[in-house]
Amino acid sequence: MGSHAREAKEFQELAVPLLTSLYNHAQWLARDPVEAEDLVQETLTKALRAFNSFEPGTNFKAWIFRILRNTFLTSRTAIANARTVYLEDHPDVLEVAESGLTPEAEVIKLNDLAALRTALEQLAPHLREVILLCDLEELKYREIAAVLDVPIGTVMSRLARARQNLRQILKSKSGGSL
Amino acid sequence: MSADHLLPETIGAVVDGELSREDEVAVPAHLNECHACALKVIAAGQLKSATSRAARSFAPSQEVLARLTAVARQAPPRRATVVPIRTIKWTAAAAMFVLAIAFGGRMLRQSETLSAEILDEHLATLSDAASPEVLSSDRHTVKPWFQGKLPFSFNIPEQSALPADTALIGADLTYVNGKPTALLLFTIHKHHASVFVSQQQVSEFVHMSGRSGFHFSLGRGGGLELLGVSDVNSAELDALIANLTAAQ
Repeated sequence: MGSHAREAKEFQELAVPLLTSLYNHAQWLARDPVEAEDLVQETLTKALRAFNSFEPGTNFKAWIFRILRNTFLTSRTAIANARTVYLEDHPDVLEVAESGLTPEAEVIKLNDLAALRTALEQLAPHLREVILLCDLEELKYREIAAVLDVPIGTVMSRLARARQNLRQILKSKSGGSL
Repeated sequence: MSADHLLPETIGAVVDGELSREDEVAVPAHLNECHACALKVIAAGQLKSATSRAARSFAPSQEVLARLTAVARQAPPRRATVVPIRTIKWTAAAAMFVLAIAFGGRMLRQSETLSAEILDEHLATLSDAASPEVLSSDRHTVKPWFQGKLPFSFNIPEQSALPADTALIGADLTYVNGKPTALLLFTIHKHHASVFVSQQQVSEFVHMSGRSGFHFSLGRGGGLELLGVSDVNSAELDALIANLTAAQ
């Protein structure tokens, strides 16, 4: 097998198991199934073209998710949201507030996955993105920082903010009874 | 860490397994003594777990997955040309030509259906550029090679138990519909046959009637699905699949 054939095969072995995750993440980003498929197709094409720049031994998932994100950022949907300013990236301006939920009440509320999914949909996109990369895709902080092109401290503050907001949304959904 | 309680970022780092070295001792010590923070860590772990489950919301359809898989399988740009074909496989070459016209060269771009994907995989095995990972007629070599590569195991009959003039020539790991699949390569007389062994049921997505001179044959046994494709006559392909299915 030639080097190009080996390269293509290696790419296939790394990329194909991630297709479902890439599609899921793309749809969370784009909020549209057709655009999500286009995003993943374009991501795969770009990743294959740039595969010789991937460093063996590093996390391929983080590498291709970064390409997916950068591809999304050039899409019409992302450009429309490009002027958003995230106060969460300035912790001196905005502190994380307590949700008011007791930990026990949170555990009870989390049994309702439909409510949690609705809460995820209501999160600000940049907060949803970081929590998906951490909790669902199980990337490390430094890998998330590379995907998002932000410092690790920003990853941590966004995660804290995302989780706090999820709790607050869940609380509001329950009519503030929790 | 504050003097009284852990910061939200620190609680997050605990459940994410991302504590800094300096916190690796201090934070567990604090949690041993602070009931409120310990409860917050438990709740944060529950939130993380529930978020993971709730966020897995958008599964691609079989057709979308097949299209994406086809894109992932595309050769690098320099390989996106007509593949070299062994002259002795003129029958297959002719069939490839027919397919290329019939499907607009789709096998070099994207397959729109799973049957096209499987047919593409079979045709790829016929080119010199894609020799299989395992070139062996010995089942004792081929079967162990898959250990650790597939989430299932399967049996291969002895050479003497295969149908007449049928031989195992190699194997490869591939992906069908995004799932890891064993690809077994056989010759039947001078024809090549590919047999895809997987746990999934792909037959409902495959046009079993065949395409452009190629036949499909399906067998199920031992929780596995065996899908064969070849340009040999359908009766002999069926015999091979029945033989392999009986071994599971």
